[in-house]
Amino acid sequence: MAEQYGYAGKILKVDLSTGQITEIPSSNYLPKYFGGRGLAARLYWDEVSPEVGPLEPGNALIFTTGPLTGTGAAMRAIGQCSGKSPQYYPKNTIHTNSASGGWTLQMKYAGYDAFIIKGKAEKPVYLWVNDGKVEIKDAGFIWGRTTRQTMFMMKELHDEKAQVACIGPAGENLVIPSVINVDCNTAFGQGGFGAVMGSKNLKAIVVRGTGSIKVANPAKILELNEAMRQITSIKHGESRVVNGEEIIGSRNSKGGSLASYGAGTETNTSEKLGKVRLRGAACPGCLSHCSVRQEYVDGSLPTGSASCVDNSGWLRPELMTGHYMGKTNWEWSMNNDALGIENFYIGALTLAPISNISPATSSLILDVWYDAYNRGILTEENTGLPWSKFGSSEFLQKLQSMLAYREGFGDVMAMGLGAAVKYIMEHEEFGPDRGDMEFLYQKSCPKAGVFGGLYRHSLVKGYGPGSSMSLASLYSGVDTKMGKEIHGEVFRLPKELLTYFYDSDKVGDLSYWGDDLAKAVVYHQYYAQWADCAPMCAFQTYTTTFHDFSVGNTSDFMKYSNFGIAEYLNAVFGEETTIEELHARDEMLLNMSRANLIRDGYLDGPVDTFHDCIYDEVDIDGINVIPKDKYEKCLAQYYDIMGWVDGAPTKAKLEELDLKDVADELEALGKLPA
Amino acid sequence: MTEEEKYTKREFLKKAGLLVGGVTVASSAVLTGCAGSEGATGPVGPQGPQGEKGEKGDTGSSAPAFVMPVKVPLSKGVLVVDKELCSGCMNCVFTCSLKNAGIGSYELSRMHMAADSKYVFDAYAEPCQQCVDPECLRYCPTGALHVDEITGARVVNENLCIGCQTCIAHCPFTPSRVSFNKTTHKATKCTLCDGDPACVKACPTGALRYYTNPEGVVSGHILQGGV
Repeated sequence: MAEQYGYAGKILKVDLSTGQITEIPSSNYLPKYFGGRGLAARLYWDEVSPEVGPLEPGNALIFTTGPLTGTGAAMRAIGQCSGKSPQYYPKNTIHTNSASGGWTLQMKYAGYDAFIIKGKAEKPVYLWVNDGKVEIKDAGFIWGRTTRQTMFMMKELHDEKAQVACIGPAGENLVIPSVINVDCNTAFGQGGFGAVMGSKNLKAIVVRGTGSIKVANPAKILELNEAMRQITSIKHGESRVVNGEEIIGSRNSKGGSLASYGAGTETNTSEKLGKVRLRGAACPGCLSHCSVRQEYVDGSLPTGSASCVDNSGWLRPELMTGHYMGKTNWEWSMNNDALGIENFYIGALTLAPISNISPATSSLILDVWYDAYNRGILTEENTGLPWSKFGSSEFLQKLQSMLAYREGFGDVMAMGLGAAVKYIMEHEEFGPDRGDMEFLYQKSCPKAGVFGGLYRHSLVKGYGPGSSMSLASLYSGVDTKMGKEIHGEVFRLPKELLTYFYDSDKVGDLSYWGDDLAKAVVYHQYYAQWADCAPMCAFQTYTTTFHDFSVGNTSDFMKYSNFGIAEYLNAVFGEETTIEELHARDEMLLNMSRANLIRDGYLDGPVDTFHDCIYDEVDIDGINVIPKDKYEKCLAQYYDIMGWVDGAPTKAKLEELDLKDVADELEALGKLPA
Repeated sequence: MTEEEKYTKREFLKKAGLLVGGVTVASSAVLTGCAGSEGATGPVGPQGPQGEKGEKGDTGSSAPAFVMPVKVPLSKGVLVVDKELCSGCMNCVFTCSLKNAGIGSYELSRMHMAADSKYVFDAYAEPCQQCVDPECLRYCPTGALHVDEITGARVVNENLCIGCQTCIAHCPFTPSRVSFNKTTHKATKCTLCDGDPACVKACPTGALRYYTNPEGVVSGHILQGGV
């Protein structure tokens, strides 16, 4: 290759046990494995053996970027974190989740497409990656500090422009729903990778890169960015005709699609809180601006910023809260103003960056705990939590500190939801009704098998097991009303777009179980695979694409939407890649991901099914949402399309996809269908 | 701390002025050394010390006597940022680097970002102010920095630039509005895109605007005594 476009060229591998630092040429893996999730799947296959536990030194923390990261392509300042996740239950396997922000950009500008971190340091350390120079440094002086303190100290010590990924007390204490904070703005939020990082005695990874990423056609990227902007945002003062109606961008409207926060305004969030001054915030290269900065006019609360997840999970009831917080909190906060969202808001704002616990994950888990409290399984006595003040700042502070420092009942919660539920069911102090916990768990994590979380969208939205990005499905629980709302948002696409993307104009209907649904699922997985490998913002995949298609016209949308990611790739690599070629690569990467799950024992238990209680669910109209027979028929059709037998790819299929070594290893383990 | 150690990179270069001008390697070495010694007291980025925001005041008094004051025509346009609207999304930064350097980069963008440590994750765009009295231009030893005839922007002629970074050191704003291309060893700065700034078009919030006046705009750093 005369000119290297899109990729930085090296993969950094650090063994914290031996202190060995090595560099692997990216060409060993790229462009075959694309980047992001795809690259991570292959690195996981090579680095993490099936016997290794998630918190053991043999597990690898894998950070990957994609060919669009750092190129200036809008909304692509994303990287992925992967490894064996401790959050999965009962079996641990690969999990990949994404975070935005400057950290992953700096990774690439420092010359690396990926980091692989293995082993366990003898004492707390942090990594300082400065333009290709890598040092393992003593972290004794920052161990125990909050992520915010860590970030400021690292910046002061090294470089104001450096970016910091770090863990707080929760990660250090191996709390399962703990995150890796990225510059205290956003986080690798799901999968419990904060605990993995803590298990390696690794406090922070500080990165400073001053390099750049070459692209074949910069003018084309600018053109695409402008088209994206036209679709997603109307500037302050700009006037545009949308669907025959003139829209004028006002100061209070929005920069991007999600952020109608009222930039530069002072708002009363509640009588208790007083006035808060809001300003927009965004990840590098974002056109949507889901984050918000707030400053309390009277100084009663610390100034801070809420990232997209905090923002949508905790601040924006009308948008996303229901999805994130689950039915109970949602209805409850809507009905009870005194214990409403503002209280959660304080909790998220002041505590999430400090205690280093994922607000999204903990809100899902909270839903289960609150149901358990209502059923009398958890009480104030046996947990030490002020349940009667559920949702208040006091409750949240207590909860988060108990979790982060594993105090009392927090030690149980910190095992991870699945293990904690099992613990409660086995201990008498939780009363005679403690058996109900199983139902509550299954309701919250409806997927039987290695991981929980997917609703019907596991077929329609997600891309198969192991996904973190199908956010609606992860957090929606099984409340049918909420499921319908999500579905409505996701599939508000007009029929011509549904046909264009999914080859069927009926798949937008929640009750549709026709024969073309399985094919639509495969398409959806392909698109999602692009988005995670290229990579691009998880929120944007669904928000920009689905929320804002009405801005601009549909032909623009087809051409430039996230599904038009091919256009960006062509601009970066200067080669014409067809959709068919991309789909062929997607198929290979999906099989690679599946191979990881199979090697980790995924097929040993229930496969791609729901708990029985989920099949019995009916929605408010009395309609069975996931009829077992229809679901299973659809699943069989899906396996047929993928060329899988009983959920596993055949040897011939893997060899056809140029994964012969993977096929051989699986065959040696006896995990391939005969 | 000795008197020498108190020197920041920028002060050092200011004092040294043209003496280190022609020696790129020597000046780079000096930069690295100073940055290291500053580590204990405060961060020093590659583009200079992080200090107070905005104008640092008149630097004319500390200027070596042999640098002649220059009077240049006013710029006919200037980029301004509404910091209430700016979300720090950096679309301007990437647009600039793609348009003007042809690659994706933080460092080669002529648009800069400043962060306010009061907030976590607070950042906003900081474009070149096209100063009335451009210190970068005044201290340029080769005349590479000059005024564009059409837009009035203070721009770098890369053919004349020797990569001494004196302009970067003398920019009265933090971060310095002149960028340095470490591959070509040339300074680079905002040209206002020949009167049609790409960053303004790319701004998704409308925070970044381009003000023009055929008579010239009064902006940025002004030496004592006024225009």
